[in-house]
Amino acid sequence: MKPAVILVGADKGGVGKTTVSRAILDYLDEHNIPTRAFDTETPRGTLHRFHPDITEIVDVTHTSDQMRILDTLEDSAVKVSLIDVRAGQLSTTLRALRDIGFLDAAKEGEFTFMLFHILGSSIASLDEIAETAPFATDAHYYLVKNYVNDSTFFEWDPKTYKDHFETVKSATDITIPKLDELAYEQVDLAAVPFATFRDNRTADGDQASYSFVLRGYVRTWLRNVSEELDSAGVVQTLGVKGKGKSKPKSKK
Amino acid sequence: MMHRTYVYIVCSPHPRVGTTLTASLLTTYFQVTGRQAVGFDTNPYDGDLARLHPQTTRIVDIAATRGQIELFDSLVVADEKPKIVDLWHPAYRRFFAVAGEVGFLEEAGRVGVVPILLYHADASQKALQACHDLEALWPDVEIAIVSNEGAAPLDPAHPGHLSRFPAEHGFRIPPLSPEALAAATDPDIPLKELLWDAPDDAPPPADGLIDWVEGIFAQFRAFELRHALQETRYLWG
Repeated sequence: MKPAVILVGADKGGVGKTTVSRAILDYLDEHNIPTRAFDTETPRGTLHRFHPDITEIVDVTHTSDQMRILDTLEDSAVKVSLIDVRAGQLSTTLRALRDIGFLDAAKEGEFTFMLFHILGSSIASLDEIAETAPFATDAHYYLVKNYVNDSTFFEWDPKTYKDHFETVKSATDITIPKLDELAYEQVDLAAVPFATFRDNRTADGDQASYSFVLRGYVRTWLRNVSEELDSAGVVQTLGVKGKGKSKPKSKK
Repeated sequence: MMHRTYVYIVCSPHPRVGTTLTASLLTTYFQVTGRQAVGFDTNPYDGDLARLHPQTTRIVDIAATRGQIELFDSLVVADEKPKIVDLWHPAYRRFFAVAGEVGFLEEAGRVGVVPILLYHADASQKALQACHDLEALWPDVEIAIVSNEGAAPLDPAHPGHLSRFPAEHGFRIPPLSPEALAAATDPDIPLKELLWDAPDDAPPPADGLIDWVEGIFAQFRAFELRHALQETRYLWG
C-alpha cells in the first residue's frame, strides 16, 4: 500500500474532531491497519491522552514538525498517518501542505490523501466546505456530520442543506451517530480508546470494571461508525487488501 | 457447583393486567422458600412493588442512562440470586430497546444468566400481537404466559385465546375477593408476615387467601422444578 495521510479537521471548534479521530483510529486498529497519529493540539494533546502509544504531539505550523510528519511518510514502517488538526488550523494546514508540494505529490499518486472535514451545525461551519473544497480536489474528501454533539445540520431546511452539501460533488458524506452522553463522559474519564472501554480493559490492558450498559452503548456506537466508514470505502481507499477485521480484543 | 441466575421479567405493554401482583407474589415466594430475590420497580414515580417490598426492591428509571445502568448492570451479575423486574407498561418498549442496544441477551448468555419473560395476557389482540413480536425479538428466551383472571379476565366468547400466545407454560392467577386482595397487597402487613410469621393470637386471614396463595406458589414451585430438571439434564449432557 502507498503511504497515506488522513487529515481530520475543521476551522470551527467544538465539532468533535478528536472524537472522530479516535473513532477512525479504533476502526483502523480493528482492521489490523497500523497507524501513527499526530496531535496538533499543542501543548495539551487530547488525542494523545487516549492513544499515547501511537500519538505524537506536533505543531503543524512549524517547519520542523511538518518534516517530522511528511519526510517520514515513505520511510516509516507504519504507512498510515492520521493528523488531528486543532480548531482553526485546517485552512492553514491545507495551505502549508499545498505550499510544500504535498498536494501535488498526492495528485501524482505518491501518497493517498484523505481529508475528513468535520462539520458543525452552523452556517459558518458549512461555509467552510466552499473554502476547503479547492484544496481537496485531489484528495478523498469526506464531509463528516458528527451527531455526537446532537447537531441537526439544517436537515430541517432543505435549501440550506442542499446549498452546502451538494456543492462538492466528489465528497463522500459520513455520519457519526450519537453516543449516549454518560457513555461518552465515562470513556473520557477512563482516558482509553473506545474499543478498550468496550472490551472492559484499562489502558494497561488489565480487567476494568466499566458499566455493562455504557460498554454496550459504546459497542453499538463503534459498530455503527464502522459501518459508516465501511460504506465510505475507507479501507479500500487506503489500498489495503486481504485484511479482514480482527476480533475484539479480550486481553492485552 | 454454580447454578444459573434467573431474571424474571414481569411484563405487559398494557396497564392493569396484574404485573406488580405477580412480581410481589414471586418475591414473597422466594422469601418463604429461604431465598432473597432482588426486585426492580421500573415505575420511578409511584411504584407499588417498591412499596410492598421496600427492603429488597430498587426503583429504577430506565428513561435515564443512570437507571439503565442500575438495572442492567445488576441483571448481568451471575450471583444465583433471582432478579425480578416489574416492568411498568410505559417503560415496556424502552426496556427491550435498551436491552437490544447494550447487548443484554448476549452478555446474559455469556455469564450464565437466564432471562424468563412472564408475559401477562389480556383479552386484546394487541397483547397477543405484542407477545408474538416479543417472541420474534427474543426467540431463544422462554416466555411464560400469566393469566390474571381477576385483573385481566379473558373473553369467554373466545375460549382459545390463551392458547394462541407463543408459550408452552403459564401461570393462572385466580380471582380473589376484594378483601383478600387488599390483605395480599397491604404494604403495612407484608404477605409473608401475614401468612407465615403471624403471631398465634393474630386474627385469621381473609377467606380464600391461603388457598389462593398456595395454589399460585404451587405453580411457581412446579416451574422451578421443571427448570431444575432442565439444568440437571444440561449438566449431565
